Amino acid sequence: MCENYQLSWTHSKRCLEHSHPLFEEGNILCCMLAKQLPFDLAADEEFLDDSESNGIPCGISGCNKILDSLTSYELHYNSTHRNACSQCKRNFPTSHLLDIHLLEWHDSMFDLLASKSPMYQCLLELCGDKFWNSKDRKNHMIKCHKFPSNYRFEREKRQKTESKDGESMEVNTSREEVSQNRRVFSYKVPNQICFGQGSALGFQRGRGRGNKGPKKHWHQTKKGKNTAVDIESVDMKELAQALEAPKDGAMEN
Amino acid sequence: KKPSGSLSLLFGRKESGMERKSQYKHRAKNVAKIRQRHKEEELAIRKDRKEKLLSSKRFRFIDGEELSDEISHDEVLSAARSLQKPGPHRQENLRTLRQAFSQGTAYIDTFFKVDNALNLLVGIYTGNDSAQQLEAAWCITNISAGTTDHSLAICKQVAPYLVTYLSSGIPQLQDQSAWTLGNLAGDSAECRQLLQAQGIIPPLMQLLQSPNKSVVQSAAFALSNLAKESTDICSEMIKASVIQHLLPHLSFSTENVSVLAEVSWVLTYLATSGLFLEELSTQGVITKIVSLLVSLSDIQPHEPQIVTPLLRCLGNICSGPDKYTLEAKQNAELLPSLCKFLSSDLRHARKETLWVLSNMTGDIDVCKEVTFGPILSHVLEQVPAAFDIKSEALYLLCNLACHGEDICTHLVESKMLQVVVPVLKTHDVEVLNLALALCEMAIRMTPNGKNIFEKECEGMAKLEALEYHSNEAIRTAANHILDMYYGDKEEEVKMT
Repeated sequence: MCENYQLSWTHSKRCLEHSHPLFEEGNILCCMLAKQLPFDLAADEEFLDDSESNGIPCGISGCNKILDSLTSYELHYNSTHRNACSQCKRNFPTSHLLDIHLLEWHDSMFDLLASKSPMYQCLLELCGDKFWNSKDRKNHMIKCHKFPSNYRFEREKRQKTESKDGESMEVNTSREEVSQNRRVFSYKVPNQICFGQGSALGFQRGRGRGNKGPKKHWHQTKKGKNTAVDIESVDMKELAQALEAPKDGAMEN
Repeated sequence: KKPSGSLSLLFGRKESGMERKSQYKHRAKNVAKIRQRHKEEELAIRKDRKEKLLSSKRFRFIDGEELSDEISHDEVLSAARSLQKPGPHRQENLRTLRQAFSQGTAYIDTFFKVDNALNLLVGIYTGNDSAQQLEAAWCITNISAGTTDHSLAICKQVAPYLVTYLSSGIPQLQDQSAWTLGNLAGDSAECRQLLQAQGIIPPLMQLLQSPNKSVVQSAAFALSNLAKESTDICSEMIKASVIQHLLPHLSFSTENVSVLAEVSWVLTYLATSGLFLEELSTQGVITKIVSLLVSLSDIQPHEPQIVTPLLRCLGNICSGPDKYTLEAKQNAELLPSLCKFLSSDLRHARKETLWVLSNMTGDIDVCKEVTFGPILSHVLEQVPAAFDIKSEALYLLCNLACHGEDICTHLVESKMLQVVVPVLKTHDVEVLNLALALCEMAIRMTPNGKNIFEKECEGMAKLEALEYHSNEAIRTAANHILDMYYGDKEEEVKMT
């Protein structure tokens, strides 16, 4: 304001930033009002009637979890079963990551196409960059998008291990069935990995984003029972540790 | 206290003498220093408190939880260690931690003392137990609301997962993740850049379309902290059609207050950058904001969470080219509603409305309406108020007066000088400048200004008092007026 004063005033407008002293009083008031936001846990809770007082069983073949409310049932279902790969039972947090997985791991044409042009896409939908191999893509995620090097929902494909018809029987395959719980793969195998029993519901492929395809249990799909597990570059020490650590809800092998 | 005491002590026993002497010495010589130190400490505490108040991060806790017993540092340590073993007890541990974190950042520091604690937490967060996942997410939210170090740690190690979960389709997780990301964005430019690189904007756009209100609110909170200080991020948002996604939420209802508040802040920051006014105009935002302000002016008590950002948005829009002011003014109710805000119970709303008006007065029609309508008397009423309101009122008056004789004359006729001239006694330099400018215009541009200033308001004495003011600009201005308009008077006085 001071700068504007000449010996005679000319009209002047002022665009003010949030941190301008004029706004301080309003900022303090609004901050105080906004700060203490309680998290309304009860908002979506629905009360079960007597017949369901024992809880809601998950119902997906092989999943033994029992949930105590509709909300937690939905939550469990969405986070554990919805974005699961029908072929290898891996679970993903988003349908996009599942789609990438299906393309790179269970599409018989993929390896062929990948040898001719870059097919490994950036994990962020709108980035659009593509790479010749998963290692380059991983480097891109780290350098360009500041992902940690041990990001759990993507891993490098070391060698062509998939056969054409989608059955994946790896050289290193362990014969145990995959845990019904979320299997996450990382550059380092996390300690919580447990090879328990059960399998996740497999959805049919081509479900696409947001479209829930017909729900079929994995044994009802045309694809054969596939309980193979892909494990690469497992650190045996960690694996041993993991096998020793007890895991709630899942059965030990 | 009394120096005389020290003399008698010289003859006392050495030990106690020295002891007592040093006490006296301390007090006698360094009282000023101690007072100074206390003052500095108090300033530091006040500054710290204000920073906390103004921090753009938010803790989150359950209503009523704060009444329960405080969690101790030891309990934090044991809860963190118990996480190492998987099991249902983790749920309880996580709850303990989450509550402790919202008690204060010191508890977060304690948590980090446990080896590998954050990794464990992340493991649970990205793990397979959905209930524990939510609890872990909540812990992460509260950690992110801590110090810059805490936020950076979360940003580097956890943020990509947070961004991933924005697209998970699970409302509780989306909500929590967006909230956390909002805290991170509010921390520092470094965090904001990291988040932008990690691809945060596109999924947030999607969340604005969620049917879940909580999710929309958290997403808007994140966007607003991202937009607040970075025009680069604003540009990316605009390209991603953020305005389109915000528009559906621009309506007022009692259920929609929080969402509307957050959305309004986003728009405010977009407007502040000054670069997207055309987009705001063509997509109908200006019209919408004006009609909202009009409705809100009638809803008493005025809702600060919404009124504040909308006023500022309008103000910054009108600080651009006049055509946007004209667009806003197409709603004939705008100025009357601003008049209502001028007498709001919210003190800061009165102040900021004066500023908005000062930006709108680039347009001559607005000037006329303000000057010849009911608003003027409200403005003049604010001149005797406290210095921050006073200053805005004067600024507005200056922006009015400079438009020419008609306006200025009416101002003088409305007894403007009578309230402004007394301001010439103030100590505040900026306010003085404004008052002097106003007086100068009144004297120069109106038939009666000169007389009224001198005779009715005894302005000359006040000007003379300013002739030797310590500030050069003030001196120059005061002298200029005296020489220019009252020079002949001085000659008369000298000659007699």
